[in-house]
Amino acid sequence: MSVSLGFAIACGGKTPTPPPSPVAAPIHGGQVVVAVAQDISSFNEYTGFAESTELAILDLLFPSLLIEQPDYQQHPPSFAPNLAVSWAFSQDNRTLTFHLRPNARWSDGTPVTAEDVAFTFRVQKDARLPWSGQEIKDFIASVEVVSPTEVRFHFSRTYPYQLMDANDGHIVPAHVWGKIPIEEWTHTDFSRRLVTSGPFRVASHVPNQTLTLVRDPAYWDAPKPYLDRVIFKIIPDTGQQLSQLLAGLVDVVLMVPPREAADLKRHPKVEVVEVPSRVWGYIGWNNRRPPLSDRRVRRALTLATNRQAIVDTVYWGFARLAKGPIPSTMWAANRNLQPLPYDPAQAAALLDAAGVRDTNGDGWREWQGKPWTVELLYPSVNTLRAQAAVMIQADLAKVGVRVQPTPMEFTAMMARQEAGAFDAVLSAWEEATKVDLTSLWVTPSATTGSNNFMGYSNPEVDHLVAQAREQNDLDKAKVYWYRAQELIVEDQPVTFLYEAVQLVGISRRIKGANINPASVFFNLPEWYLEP
Amino acid sequence: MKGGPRRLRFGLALVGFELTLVVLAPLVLPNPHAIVDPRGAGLLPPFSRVFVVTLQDGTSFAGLELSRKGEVLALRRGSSWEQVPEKLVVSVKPQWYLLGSDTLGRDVAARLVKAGQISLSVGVSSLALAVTLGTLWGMAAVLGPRWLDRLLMALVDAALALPLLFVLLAVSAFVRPSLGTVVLMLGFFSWMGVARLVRGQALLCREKPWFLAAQGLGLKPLRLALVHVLPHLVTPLATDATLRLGDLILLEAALSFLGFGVPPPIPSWGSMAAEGFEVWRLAFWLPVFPGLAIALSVFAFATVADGLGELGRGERIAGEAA
Repeated sequence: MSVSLGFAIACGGKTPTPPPSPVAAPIHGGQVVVAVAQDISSFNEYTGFAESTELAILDLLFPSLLIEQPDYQQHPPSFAPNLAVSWAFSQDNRTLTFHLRPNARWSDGTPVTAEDVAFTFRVQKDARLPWSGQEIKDFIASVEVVSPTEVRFHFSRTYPYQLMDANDGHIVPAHVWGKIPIEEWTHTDFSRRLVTSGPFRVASHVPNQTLTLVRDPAYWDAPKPYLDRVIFKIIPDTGQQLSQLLAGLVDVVLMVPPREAADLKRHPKVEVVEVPSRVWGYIGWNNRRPPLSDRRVRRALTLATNRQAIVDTVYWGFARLAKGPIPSTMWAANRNLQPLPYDPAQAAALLDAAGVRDTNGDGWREWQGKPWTVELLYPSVNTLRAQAAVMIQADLAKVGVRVQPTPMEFTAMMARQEAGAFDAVLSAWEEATKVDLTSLWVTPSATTGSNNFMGYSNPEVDHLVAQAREQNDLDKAKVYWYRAQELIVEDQPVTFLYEAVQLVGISRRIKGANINPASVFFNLPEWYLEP
Repeated sequence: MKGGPRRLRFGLALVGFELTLVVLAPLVLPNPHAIVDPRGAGLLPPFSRVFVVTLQDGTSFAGLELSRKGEVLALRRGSSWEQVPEKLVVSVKPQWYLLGSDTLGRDVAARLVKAGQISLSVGVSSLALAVTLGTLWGMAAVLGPRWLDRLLMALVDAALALPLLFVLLAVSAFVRPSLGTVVLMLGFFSWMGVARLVRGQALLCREKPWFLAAQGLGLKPLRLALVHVLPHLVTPLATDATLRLGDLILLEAALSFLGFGVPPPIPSWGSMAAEGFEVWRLAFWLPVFPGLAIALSVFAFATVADGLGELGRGERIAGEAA
């Protein structure tokens, strides 16, 4: 799964919903209404940036070779058969062969074949398309069609995530979409060229209102799905979503605001499922701008911020203190890491040592004789961030550091971030199920894409990350990952704030739902309604 | 005719009441920015009291109830009792929340009053800017050459055709939000109505015999404007300005509600309403107070404007009868 900027939150954690009781047999029929904040941007994920909810919806319409299991917490995720019924690596691990299900059909009756898989790979590698996952396929040299039900992936090197990288991205119909020239893809309305293959197909789509899916009678895993219809209702306001859930107009709300969760848990008709997510929040410091370029200053600012209070107040306890760059739910997370304590006295001493002192006795620290103000940017629509910003401001004021919280329109904020024109950014990140510190923490280079807007650079970290990525022995890889995390925490390029918990509100009339960190809709074909 | 002064007095009384409150209340209310232990003192209803316990290391906690058991002090924070050894405690102070507290345990009454200072001063400053710009623009249109009049009024029409809130939101995406920029934005985008009014009134003056006489004496346009036109604009301008003040307060509130007004932690009625709106299910009173404050201000200024308008009409009728 690709990494995305985490203000549109998605999946995470253990398996909190009990499995369906074996006594009640699933029954067919009925519909479920899911509230979503925004409409699907395109039915073709390769033509734009699809956030996690959108990808979860596409899971119901387009097949993937395998289904990623929610067990990334112990090791790289394992996989279950989907379009592919079996798969095998060659002796040297450089060739991966998939055997496809012979009875999978597109919604127009055409079989889903190895041609579709090969076509999809060509699409994924096409630099003319803006797909954000292109680098996932970097080490796959070619995809070879052996027979209609057999397809072979050739890798240019071996590494732990080969299966995951081969599987990422949905298979799209070659016999329909292959007729549209690639250069026209970004301005083609794929809702008019929709041929799908999954448990559901699209019945209707009213932009910005509803997307209605109906069960596909030709789905290979009959008698699933049990539901006749799944309706995605677009309701931008979370308060509205909640009101409709309580009124029974909506059955599933993907993100219940933390402050409402305690109340909602007492409601007789609604269950709140807590899913640890891979979203974590941070204050990103501009590591290129003095005095923030001094590690002592960044550590001091972390020490002076009462992060636990932010977790308790802003997230109402439905979050955990973040310790480091790999969320604690992932296999490579260094469990020995200790978060820096809340220690204003030590912070003050560090700032003094770094030369950020109050020289004129006005109660505020100066830098090189000039008043020092840290401008803290955050997206203006996010009231939780606004609260956190005010708390950070109050905390840092206690050690004489002046903070100016600045709400900004999201794209304007991104622009300043990318231009390096900022002091600090209050933001969040959604980690992939793949452990990789490259994009955020490795020194940005001119040739590769990077999300390291903080400008963090530590050659030792760069080296460790490169070694860890290529290490096929996970225990050995862990040694590199652990050390890299320790170094990053020592350097504090960002102040790690919280690891979020996703709160899903779901009507109790829905049975059989297994909501887990892979996706809220992980086993939607198995959901059914209480008789 | 009598309705005028009575309404005016009522409106002025309301405005006076609000001003008094905004100026004097801070003397008795706590610091509007002070964050008091959110877990113990957050989201309390009006007329709540908490005990703020300060420890030797400077940290402080708040709780709704307090009990002493020998050497130990027990404090109820939210739904749990927590204990501290008495010897670590420096002070225990009760604090009242007249209108309740927000999520961060800040005093809503104090913030409401502080926000009142902000909203009123932003309103008045941007009004001053708008009236100055509008008056200059309108006067220039009337007293300048014919082509200038056409040009200036075409620009006014063009500016009026823009959807105001959208323009403000678009502009605020590019400027750094601060009190000053909000005043500038509001002022620069609301002078057009004033310009039209000034031009209209000045055109009326231009037909009057005393104006023609003054013009005939060869007075310069500037002197004509200042001495012979401006005094006649005072009443209509005052009426318009008071009404406009209410609009500006509302507009500032709308901007702040959407997150593009005065930046935190400076409170504004709009941002307080937005914050309160987020938690209305848990604390319905939070969005109510700023909402009432906005409504009261707009009503007060509209009433004054109404009163002034009637008064002006009264004067004119009296003048014409004489």
